[in-house]
Amino acid sequence: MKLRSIEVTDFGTVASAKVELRDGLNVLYGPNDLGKSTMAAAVRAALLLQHGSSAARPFVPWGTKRKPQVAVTLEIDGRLWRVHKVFGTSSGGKSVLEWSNDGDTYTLQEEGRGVDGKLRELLGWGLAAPGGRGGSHGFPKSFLATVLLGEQAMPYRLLGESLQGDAEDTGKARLVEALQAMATDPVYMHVLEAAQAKVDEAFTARGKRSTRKGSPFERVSTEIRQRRESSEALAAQVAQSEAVVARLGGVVSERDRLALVAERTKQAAADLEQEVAVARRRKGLEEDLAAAQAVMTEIEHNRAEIDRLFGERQAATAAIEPATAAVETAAIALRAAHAEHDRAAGIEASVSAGTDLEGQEETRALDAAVAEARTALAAAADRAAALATWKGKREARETAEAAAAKADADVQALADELAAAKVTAEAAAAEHAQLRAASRLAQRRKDADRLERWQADAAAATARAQQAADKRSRARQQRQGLAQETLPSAEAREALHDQWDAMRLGEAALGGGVSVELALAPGPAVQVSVDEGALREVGRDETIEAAAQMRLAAGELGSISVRAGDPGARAAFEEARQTWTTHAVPLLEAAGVADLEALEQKVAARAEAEAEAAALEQEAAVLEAVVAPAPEVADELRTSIARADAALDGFDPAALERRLDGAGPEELVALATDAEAAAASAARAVEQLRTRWADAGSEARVCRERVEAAVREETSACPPDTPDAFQAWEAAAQQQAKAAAAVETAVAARDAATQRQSGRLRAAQEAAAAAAILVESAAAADEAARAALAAQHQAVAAASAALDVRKEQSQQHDALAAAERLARAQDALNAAPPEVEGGLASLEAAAEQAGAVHTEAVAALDDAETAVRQQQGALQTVGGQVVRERAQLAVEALDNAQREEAELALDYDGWRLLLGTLREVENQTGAHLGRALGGAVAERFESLSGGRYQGASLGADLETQGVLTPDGIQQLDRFSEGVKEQLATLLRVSVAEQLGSMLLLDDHLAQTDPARSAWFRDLLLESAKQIQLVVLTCRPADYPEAGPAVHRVDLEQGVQRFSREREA
Amino acid sequence: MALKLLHTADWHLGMRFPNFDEEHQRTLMRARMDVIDNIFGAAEGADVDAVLCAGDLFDDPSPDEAWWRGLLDKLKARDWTKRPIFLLPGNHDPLTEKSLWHESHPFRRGLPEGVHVVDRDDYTAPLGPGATLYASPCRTRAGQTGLWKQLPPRAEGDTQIRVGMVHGQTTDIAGFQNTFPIPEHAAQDRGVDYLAIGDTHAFREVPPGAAVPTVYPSAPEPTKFGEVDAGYVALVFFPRGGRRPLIRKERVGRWRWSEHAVTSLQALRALGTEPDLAQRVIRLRLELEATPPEFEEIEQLLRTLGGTDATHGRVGVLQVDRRGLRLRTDDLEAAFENLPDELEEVVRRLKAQADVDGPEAEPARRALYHLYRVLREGQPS
Repeated sequence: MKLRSIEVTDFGTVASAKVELRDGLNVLYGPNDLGKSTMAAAVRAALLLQHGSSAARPFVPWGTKRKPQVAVTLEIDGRLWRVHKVFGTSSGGKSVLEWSNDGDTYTLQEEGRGVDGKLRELLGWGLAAPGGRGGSHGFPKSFLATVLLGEQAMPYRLLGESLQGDAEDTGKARLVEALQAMATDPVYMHVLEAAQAKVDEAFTARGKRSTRKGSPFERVSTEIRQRRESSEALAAQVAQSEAVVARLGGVVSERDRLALVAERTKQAAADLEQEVAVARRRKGLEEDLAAAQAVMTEIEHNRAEIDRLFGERQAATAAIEPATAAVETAAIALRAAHAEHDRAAGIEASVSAGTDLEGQEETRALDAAVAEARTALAAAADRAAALATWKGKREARETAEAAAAKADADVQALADELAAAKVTAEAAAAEHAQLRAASRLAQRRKDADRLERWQADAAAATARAQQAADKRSRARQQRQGLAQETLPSAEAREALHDQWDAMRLGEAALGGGVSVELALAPGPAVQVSVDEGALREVGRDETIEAAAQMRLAAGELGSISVRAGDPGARAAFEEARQTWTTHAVPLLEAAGVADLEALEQKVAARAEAEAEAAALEQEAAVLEAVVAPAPEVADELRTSIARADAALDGFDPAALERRLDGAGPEELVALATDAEAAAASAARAVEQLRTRWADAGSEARVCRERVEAAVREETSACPPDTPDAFQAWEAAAQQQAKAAAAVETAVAARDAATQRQSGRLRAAQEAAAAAAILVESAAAADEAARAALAAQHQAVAAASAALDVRKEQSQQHDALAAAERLARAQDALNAAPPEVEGGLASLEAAAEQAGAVHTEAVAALDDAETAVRQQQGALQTVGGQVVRERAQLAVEALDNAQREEAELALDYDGWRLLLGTLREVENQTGAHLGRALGGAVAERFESLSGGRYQGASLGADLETQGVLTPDGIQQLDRFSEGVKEQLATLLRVSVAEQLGSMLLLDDHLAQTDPARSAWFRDLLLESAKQIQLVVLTCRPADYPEAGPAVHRVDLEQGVQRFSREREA
Repeated sequence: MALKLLHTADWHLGMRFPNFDEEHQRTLMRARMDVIDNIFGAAEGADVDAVLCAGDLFDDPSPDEAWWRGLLDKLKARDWTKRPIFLLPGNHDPLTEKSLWHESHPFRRGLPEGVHVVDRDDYTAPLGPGATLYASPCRTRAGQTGLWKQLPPRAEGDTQIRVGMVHGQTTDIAGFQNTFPIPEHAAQDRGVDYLAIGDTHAFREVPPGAAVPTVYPSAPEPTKFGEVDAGYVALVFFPRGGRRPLIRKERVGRWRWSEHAVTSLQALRALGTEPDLAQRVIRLRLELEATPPEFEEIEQLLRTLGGTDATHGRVGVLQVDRRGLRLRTDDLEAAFENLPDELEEVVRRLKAQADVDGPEAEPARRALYHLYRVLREGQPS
């Protein structure tokens, strides 16, 4: 690299300046305070300082607000680069970098913040890229920047520096390449390159994991981020699902509790209903008793009526006999009238015939025969009628007997049926009891299972609560620890960085150097403190040199303090230091750190701790979000189990186990309900059968009474001389038929005789008419008698009919049955529970109230069921098992990715460690730049010092460890500033030569005597054959006149100071 | 034989495997579709009268088109008019308005004749002469009510073969309460001769030997490590005379999943010689210490088994957990012979770090192994 031109405007004390530079030795000379060092500072600012840096403030011309500007043209590898910077912390600052191949036409390469990055890349001096945390806010430092652009009076400081302090290893790499100092073993090189390639693949230049696209960590961290997001989203869904399940468990428990309450209220209402039913039955029994008593009263009334009607019929029957006698009398009279009529007719006939006495006799005989036949017929008819009546009674008796037998059979059948029904009812009741017990046992087991699950849930909830409390406690402790720390804000820290930079710059501006030559007469010992160091005794003729200040103390004679730098810079530094001491130091002390770097580390650590505390609190919140089971549920379950145990006492456990086999509680409840219905049905069947059996018994008794009555009637109707009724009836019928035939025969005979005597009849017609009148009157009498008899018969029939009605009524009310019913009713009433206090009405009111309570319990249960359905609906939407499975997969995926990242990190940590160890070993045993460069330096140093010094002891990174003398290595602090200045210049020239780079020397030999200055002049002339040298000096005579390799520039011609401008 | 059925479930088409890399994810996802051909082939081979698919046929009710179209193509490629197939929505792919089971979905619209979707709570369909299917679909992802209750009980005098089909968890599984529970007595209660169910992924009769079989036919391909008895369908043969059906467990799956803890190099070598590795999904957990040469052999074996970017591995899908793999540093001389002085120094320093317990020990072992590998691979010409 070479400098081709420097152009400065409003920069420090320089109002304007422009200098062209050439190859070889460029001597830029001028008197003190002309602005030579300002020109050097301008070059450094152009190449190293960002245009917005506060470190450029000292370059603002005093008393102005002008913006310092500098333009520098460089030649690097044959190409020209022009950098132009205008410094300013506000929007006025700017940077431009252009390039040209011909020096005429320039092309923009970068502008703004990109300029410095590109410049540092071009220079390759081990400077870090600008920007970012930890980046320099002022002039960046590197070993080569100090070597090639070292400030005035600063070179000796180079001896304390080395390549190890560089932010990047580009400077060292250039030197290693230039000096060919690397270990040359090809195997070593191969390993180094492989390790470097791997490290570059995964890490940034600052050693952080690379996040650029395509880097291994970028890929896996992207994957982890995506998987974590997915896992967290699914975990949230699972938590939501679990919360729904927990809520569902809660509402189900509440529903179950309310179901128990509803069951209890239902039982209470049922018990009261049962009591009401009992009371109502008692009332029914009382009503039955009253009804039975009414029936008995009616039966007795019927009996009295029957007796009365029987008397009436007997009286009517008794009246029939005289009426019958009257009828017979009338009939006799009628017959007599007829006879008279017949006689008159006979007379008429005899009168008409006058002679047929035989015929008259015959007629009379025949009439008598007819009358006799009719009498016989009447008798036969009466007997036949009597026999017919008896036959009817007999058939009635047989019918009654058949009915009685059937009634007895019915009674027996119903008795059998009743016995069987009783067995069935008992079996059904036993079945019901068993199933109800089994149901309670199943419910008890279910409750026990639920209690067990509840206990497990409760234990889990306790564990979760403990975990949450632990996490919160840890988070709290962490936050308490953080609260005790007092750390400045980001703005305050930024201000601290600015203050630090200002102080460092101010300190750097003081570095003018102080040299005091002592020539003391004998006297008291004099002590010196250099740059605020410890006091030491000095020799009588020693030259003492300091960078910024020194203090000489001569005991009681007092002390002398000497300080470097102009008063303005000193005041600025003191102000910056005061600001730092009063403002920054307390903040750092309050933060408990020693410097800014430690402060930044502590801020980062605090941020990590806060994040960790937040993560712990978030984990605790997730744990606390899961709802714990309600204790009332367990109490309810325990109560339920205890009740079940009491209810199950007395049942055969084995039998209940068999019942439980394969059936759940719901099924058992259903079965028990069915069995209960079956038992009730069987009991109802028994009751019905018992009623039917009692009714059948009553019917059988009625039938038997009817049989007895029929027997009595048959017996009374049976003729005493007729053992065989049927045969007698047939015989009577035959006799009646025979009598009828005899009547017909007699009538026929009489009619024949009548015909024969018709003539005689006409004669007797008048007599007959008279007789007819007699007959009519007799017939009227006969009719009246018969009417009276009929009236009596009607009276008897009416009495019999009324008697039949009464009897029928009496039969409807079986007296025996009624008496039994009355007795049963009385017994039932006696056996019934006593009448409750307050009566049926109060019991019904209590039952109604219990029913209302039960209705409320059922309503509450319905609400709980609704809540259960709602939560079930919510569960249906949140995902349940599906989302749990996916969340598990997501967690496994995240674990895998994190494992892969850990594996990757371990792998690349291995590469980094390998590279670090290789470098470490290389530095110590391989690339030892000190050895590579030491020869050139030693040769020149020995020549310079006339063999007094044999060289410098340089470390692997060119750190100066001491001066080689015949007596060995001597520490630097034993040498004067002049010697150190000379050694530093030798080192700088040697490094620049190795790199082929320009070297800027700004009053580099201020402490050197003329002889050695002359030696250096020759050295620079020799070196100028290889590299470009730019020397800023106030002693131009120390350098050769202009020549082929020497370019002299009188700065008084090219530099305009502000003071002169003002003078102008 | 009165009736022959093929009973399958839990295809989980479209299911993702996020804990595998992309290539293996795709392999395993495609395997779920590939196995459908084996299932249909088994149905044809056994000449069954009908095919019952008891839910979770898709992993999501609205899968990507590739999945439902893939199945549709396979269904269209066969004739189902004489062998009807019944598709039941499960809790992973419930029947909703937005699901592919809905009549408006192109999948549903495109189903060929003979392919039936159980889309009513009281679904019935004839399975053949004297045999009827009763089924009820999942309409949500979770539910506390067993869908088996939707099946009508056997009417008095009904002597036909009754087959039930529902999706859910039997009550012997933890967490069954929220996933359409199915009690042991469900089949008997409903009076069916066979209850075809789906949800869990292992082949199971619940309980074994019950008078009326209730069967999980398993997922035809496993879905994760630890699943046992997956990869099957159930062939169900109903003898004449109303006797208990015979159930045959028929393998259709191609992939077998297994986990192995490898504690020695010999065990790893032996694993490499096992047959059918190409059809296996293996998770290896390395728990051993190895010298650098052994370490290198392990890496080589793992490359052979698992493949690289350029080559297929012998194992179908290989997942390796190396956290338990340690480099032995007690005898490194043989591994690092004839090194330049600088590298000898590097080895010495790394070994010193590796031998001291601490956070740098493992990176130091890795560094030594890297160095060994680089040296073994040699310098490029």
